[in-house]
Amino acid sequence: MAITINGTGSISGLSAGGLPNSSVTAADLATVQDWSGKTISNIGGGGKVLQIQQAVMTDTQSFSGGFTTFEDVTNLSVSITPSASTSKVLVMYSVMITGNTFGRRYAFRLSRGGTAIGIHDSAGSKTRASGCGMPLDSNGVMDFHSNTILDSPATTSATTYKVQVVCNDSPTVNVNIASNEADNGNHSRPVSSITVMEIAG
Amino acid sequence: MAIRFDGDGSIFGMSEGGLPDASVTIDDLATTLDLSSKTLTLPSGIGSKILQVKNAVKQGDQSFTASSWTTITDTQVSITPTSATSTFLVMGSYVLGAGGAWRSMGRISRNESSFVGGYQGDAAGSKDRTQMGGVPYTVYNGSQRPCKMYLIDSPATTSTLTYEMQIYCNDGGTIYVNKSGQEADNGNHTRSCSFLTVFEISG
Repeated sequence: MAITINGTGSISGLSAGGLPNSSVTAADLATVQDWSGKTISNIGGGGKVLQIQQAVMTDTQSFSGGFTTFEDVTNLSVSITPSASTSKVLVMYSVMITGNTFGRRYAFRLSRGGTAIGIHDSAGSKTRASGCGMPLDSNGVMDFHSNTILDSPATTSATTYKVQVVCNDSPTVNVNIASNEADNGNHSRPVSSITVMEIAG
Repeated sequence: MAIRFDGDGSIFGMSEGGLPDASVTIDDLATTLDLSSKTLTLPSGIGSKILQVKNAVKQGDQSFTASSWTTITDTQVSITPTSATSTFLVMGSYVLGAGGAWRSMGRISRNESSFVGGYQGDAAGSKDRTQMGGVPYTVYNGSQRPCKMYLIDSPATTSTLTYEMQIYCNDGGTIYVNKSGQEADNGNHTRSCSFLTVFEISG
């Protein structure tokens, strides 16, 4: 096709790629910019942390009676909606938990949407958990437990992570309450937290 | 306007949009590239959220007898926010021993005066409101007990901040950091480390 220089200030008949060397065309940018969707993709070196969410539990919760199934710590729960199903979620939690009876055991674990994650392999009839504890004192002591788990939820739906506890042989398990506390300044009320970070896959 | 070809290799008089199809114009880039302010807007999910990270590790030991907040030395992290909208993920961990049946109170503080994130246990009678508390209580012949906390802070400033861990003991006893309260000098006993790590995360 002949190239026509119009009096309107435009040129017709010039083919794509007919510009001088080093001119930029849509094809040159096609791998990074989607002209129809106006989006940029294939960017290397970007950050991997896409979002972070946290819940801090400042109140207390007590679990009474030697129950044998895990129960939720109500306010130690956080939800996150992954940006992509290939994302990973780094879950970090720190919980102050203890039983109120010397030498009695309790256990805790992490749940994702009701499914336990990061727990021990099956071993007979023993409780599968992320960790466990036992009050070694019974006079205002607390136990700190923390865990870090990298999860792959494979979803873009809202996902809730919760800390759960069980006490097979401990009469009472408390979160954010010391064993046999007294009401004075030698005893304290602390906090527990759960933090989730979405990491690009 | 007529199009004019100059002898220096340039063209004058060409109107906007006068190039062939598939040529790139400012409008094509407008949703992602703002040429006037020279900014590039990346799609959601792209671009670093962690702007900086700093860490302090305490390898020595320290004893405490104070009944008011006292800084665990060498756990201070100073950081200057890139933006006032940034949030900070603060991760602290310390190890305690006691010389008797003492209980400690602990917190992560900002500028030695506040609870990070404003978080402390709800009020309950005369009990102290803390972030970490109730350990180690007894000595148990060389034992130490860890305390760890992850908290998010939103300081809303671009001024330099200092985060640190602080503890105190109301029982009148001595609390030790990074050592037990009843140690012997042999391999059955341990000297530990405490640390504080701060991430600045874009808002």
